[in-house]
Amino acid sequence: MAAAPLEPESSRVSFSWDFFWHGVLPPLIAAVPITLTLTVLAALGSAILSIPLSLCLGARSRWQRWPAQSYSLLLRGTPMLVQIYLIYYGLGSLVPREWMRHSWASPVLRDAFWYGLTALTLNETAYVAVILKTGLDGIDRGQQEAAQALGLSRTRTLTRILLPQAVRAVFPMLANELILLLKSTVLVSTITIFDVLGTANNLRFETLRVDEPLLGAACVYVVLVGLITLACAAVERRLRRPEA
Amino acid sequence: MTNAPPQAAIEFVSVSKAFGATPVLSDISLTIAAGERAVVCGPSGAGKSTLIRCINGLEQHQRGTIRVSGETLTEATRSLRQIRAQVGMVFQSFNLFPHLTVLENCCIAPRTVLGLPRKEAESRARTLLRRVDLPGYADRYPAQLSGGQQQRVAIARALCMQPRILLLDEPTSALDPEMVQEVLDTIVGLTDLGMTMVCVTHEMGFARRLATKVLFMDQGRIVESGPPADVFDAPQSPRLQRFLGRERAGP
Amino acid sequence: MSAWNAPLAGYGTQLLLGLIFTLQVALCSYTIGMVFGVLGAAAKLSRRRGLRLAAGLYTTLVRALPELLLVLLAFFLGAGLIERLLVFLRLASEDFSLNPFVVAVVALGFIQGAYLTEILRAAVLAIPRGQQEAARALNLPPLTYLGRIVAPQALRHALGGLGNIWLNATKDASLISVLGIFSDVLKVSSLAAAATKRYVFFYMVAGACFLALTLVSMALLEWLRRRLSLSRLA
Repeated sequence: MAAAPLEPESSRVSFSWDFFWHGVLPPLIAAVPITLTLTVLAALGSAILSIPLSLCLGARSRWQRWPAQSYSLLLRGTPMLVQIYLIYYGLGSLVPREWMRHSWASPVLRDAFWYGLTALTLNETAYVAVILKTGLDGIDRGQQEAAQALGLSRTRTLTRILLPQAVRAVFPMLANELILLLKSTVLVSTITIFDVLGTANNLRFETLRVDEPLLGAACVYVVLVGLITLACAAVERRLRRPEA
Repeated sequence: MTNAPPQAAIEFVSVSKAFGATPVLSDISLTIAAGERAVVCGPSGAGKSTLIRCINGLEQHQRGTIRVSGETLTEATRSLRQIRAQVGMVFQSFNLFPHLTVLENCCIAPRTVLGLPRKEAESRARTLLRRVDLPGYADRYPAQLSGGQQQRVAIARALCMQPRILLLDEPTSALDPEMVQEVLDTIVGLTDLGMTMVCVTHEMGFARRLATKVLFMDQGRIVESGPPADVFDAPQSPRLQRFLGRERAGP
Repeated sequence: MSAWNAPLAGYGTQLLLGLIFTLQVALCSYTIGMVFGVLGAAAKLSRRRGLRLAAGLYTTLVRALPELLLVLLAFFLGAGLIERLLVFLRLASEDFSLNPFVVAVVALGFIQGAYLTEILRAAVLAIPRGQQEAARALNLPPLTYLGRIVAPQALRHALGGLGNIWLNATKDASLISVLGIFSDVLKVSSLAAAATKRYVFFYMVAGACFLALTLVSMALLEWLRRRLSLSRLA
């Protein structure tokens, strides 16, 4: 691990505003939809998958609890990067080459986007399930009894009574998790997906300029995080109004 | 309003239940006829709440048989759902759904369990809200209501399912003293509906007004039962005499 | 030695060394993170508005940026800037370049510090106000107050959060593999996977290594939590 020089001399040029505004920001902003798509799809996917997982985490039967807890431990106890590589290189190498090229699924199987999305969704599910379980555990047991006494089915009780209250209770944690998810999407740039960071890195390689692409990416992410934070705060305010 | 069937509404045959090693119900046998209004009273820990919670399956009895409107209670979900459709319950801590309005609280079960269309469910709910004297409160949220108002909404919510049997588990124990009377009056006002009622309460005056039958429980057993006049004015067992002596001494 | 090395296609030793290196990175970055965290929390709790704003800017910016981007920024911008600053201040010679390990560890520590600031600040705020008044009434010197009263209680409140950030530190240490110049366990696994084409196997080995770190850490944290709650501070 010798101390090699960290960047080529050419990047020690002063910061170029012109390049920043015209050469860096446009392609980065053009890549925002990819970052947002990954974030939104992974958020939706994990929201749906985390419901059964959170129920299993709190289940009485150990046949439901143990697999759920193992999943949770595996996905939260290992780095996101390892999971991405495992799914991309691992699954990719498992699929026979014939399928890759000729099958109907080949656009999906060849595009790194879907592998990245899968990894993000699976990972996020584990985190959201833990948060959701915290929310469900916090609901007064009387609520469930009232729903039972009224004859509501288990599904209805869950969807109309328990989940709405659980989500309201843990909304700040979910909002925080959404921002963490947005930040995690940058890791898929390591498997050739051209999200904002991937585009920025590409610019680095092509132009050998370092400052502008990275600072441009930083600005874009700060703005994205800021927008999501504001949006979540607005949603939280609307959720609170009924319980005035 | 309801045409009560001639068979017994609630039957317990040698029912027992224990929490771990502690017995809670010991060999309980009772019959409550349709249309009867039974009040269950007794010292704390006597098993009163457990008794009525066994009727709609919120607690599972371990030995003996429980029959509701002829239907035997088993652990099977379908039979529980059928029984719960005819048995309404009012809880000590109201258990209203805080994220739904008063109207939505009342309508959710009729719409999803009975399949009533929205208009019909809402009109039924509004009628019952008038009956519990809360006509303008349909669009409020539970947190905006006082304890007494919340409990009355809970009663309306249970009635919206048109149950044949209404269970009340210490409906006024969690209320501030000034709100107890309004709820008790509301419950007594339900007698014209002809429903079978089982109520656990400490309010003796209210018990006298409401009950057609009184069950006195102590340590998991029914010690004495009979019409209110007999039980309250001529208690036979020393335990009941002591209990009433204590109760009468209170405010 | 070859008995356990064989299934790992001869990469066993390198993987073990890589795991040790990753652990070193995690430990060093966490330590530096604690330094940033204590300073940041002190700044946020101070009476000087400037310090509070500066610390607020620190935590907000760092928590708004992806960790990988921050590491890249540190390496490609930050390191260069600091090197130029040191040369300018004549504290270093012209061709001085920072040790990459130091840069990586400080970058990761800088990130963790932002989260630790919040945790430590909340933990200190959780101590009832009356304690400070009592200390003043007793004329306790401030260092004693901080060391014997504030710190132990804050640590008990903060233990959960501190543990979480440590677990994050062990996972974030994997980010340095992207830079390509370190032989951490993930980089070695990637190389082994590419060389042997046994991708699933070697990435699962990498995952297992990190999982082992996580499990051991969780066990230690639980032991620590139990020791602290049985102490006479309860």
